[in-house]
Amino acid sequence: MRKESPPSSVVQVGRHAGHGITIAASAALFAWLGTLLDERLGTRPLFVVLGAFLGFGAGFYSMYRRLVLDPSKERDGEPPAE
Amino acid sequence: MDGLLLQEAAQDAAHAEEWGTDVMIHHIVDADVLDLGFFSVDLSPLSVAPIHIGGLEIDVSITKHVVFLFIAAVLTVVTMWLAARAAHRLEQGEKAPGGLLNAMEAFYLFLRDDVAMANIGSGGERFVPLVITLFFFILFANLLGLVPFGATATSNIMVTAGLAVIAFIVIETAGYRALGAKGYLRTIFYVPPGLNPWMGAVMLLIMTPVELIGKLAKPFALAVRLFANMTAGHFVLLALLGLIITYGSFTTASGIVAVLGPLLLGLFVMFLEIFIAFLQAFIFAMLTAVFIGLIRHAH
Repeated sequence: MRKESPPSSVVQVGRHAGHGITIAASAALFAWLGTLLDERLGTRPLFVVLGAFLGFGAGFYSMYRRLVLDPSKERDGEPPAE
Repeated sequence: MDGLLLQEAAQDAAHAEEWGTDVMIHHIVDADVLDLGFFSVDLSPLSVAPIHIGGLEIDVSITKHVVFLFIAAVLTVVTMWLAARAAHRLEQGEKAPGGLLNAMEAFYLFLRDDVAMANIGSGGERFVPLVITLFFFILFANLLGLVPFGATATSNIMVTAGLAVIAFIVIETAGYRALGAKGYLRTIFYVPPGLNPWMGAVMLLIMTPVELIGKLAKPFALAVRLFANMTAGHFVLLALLGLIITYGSFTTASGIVAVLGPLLLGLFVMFLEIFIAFLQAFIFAMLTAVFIGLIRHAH
């Protein structure tokens, strides 16, 4: 058991490899929801643009949380989130 | 005259390009024929009508890749069974295992201690068989593509996606069992601490789909990584060897270079492919263990 040693680079890569996909996919998802809303309200392209930004921001926050917020919590003695 | 020659050369090149693409695609994609060089086995009698589940169409026909998956599965079972038998004999004080089984033992110990247990932590024993099976199954599937007339089942996105779905189900189930219903739901529904209820509700509404995407991104990356690595190596190899067929000749100096260069590079890529076969099997098994460990220790 080598729990005390810092995680290897493969582990780190694997842990954070999903962030890029998450940001891209959440931007795409919210942009798509924006197009649906636009079609209904006839406000194209307002909500597509807002959705894309919102999705990108949310994806970025998800990454920020795992890269910055959780490690600092971990240092304060709290267990990390997934 | 020159124009005509150029035109002919251009046509030849275009034809060669088309031919090369066809050959390369032919080697990569799934087929219902087993091409064994001197003869080929027609698998189309084994194809069955697709099963319809709702709007989903599932084709469970036996194809080239399925045959090689079966072979990989049989190889995994046989090597494991032989290793287990040797270990049993050793326990009864008969004789120490020989070369191959010694190597298997080294693989097994490494995967158990440094991959599964080191990443999953306490209580990880029950995931050790999965991690080791994943490693050997993917390894054999990868290596079978390097055998003459073999096919790489793992260069089919459906195969790697199937493996990733298995990993996903195990990861989420392990998380649910380790964290309980409440703890598991907190990995999906996340509200940043210190927000007023309204902002919390807004964040919950926005972040829940993102967290779900984040959950799916990991197995997606697993599937694409294995698929892309196994496909890319074959394309490089086929493109190099295609150069010999397209430009090689023994009558001109450039023709000889076009034979020897790709041959040496191809040999190098082949060695690289063996390394990648091991590496990608290791990464898939390793990351499955990492993800199981991550969700089990999430709070």
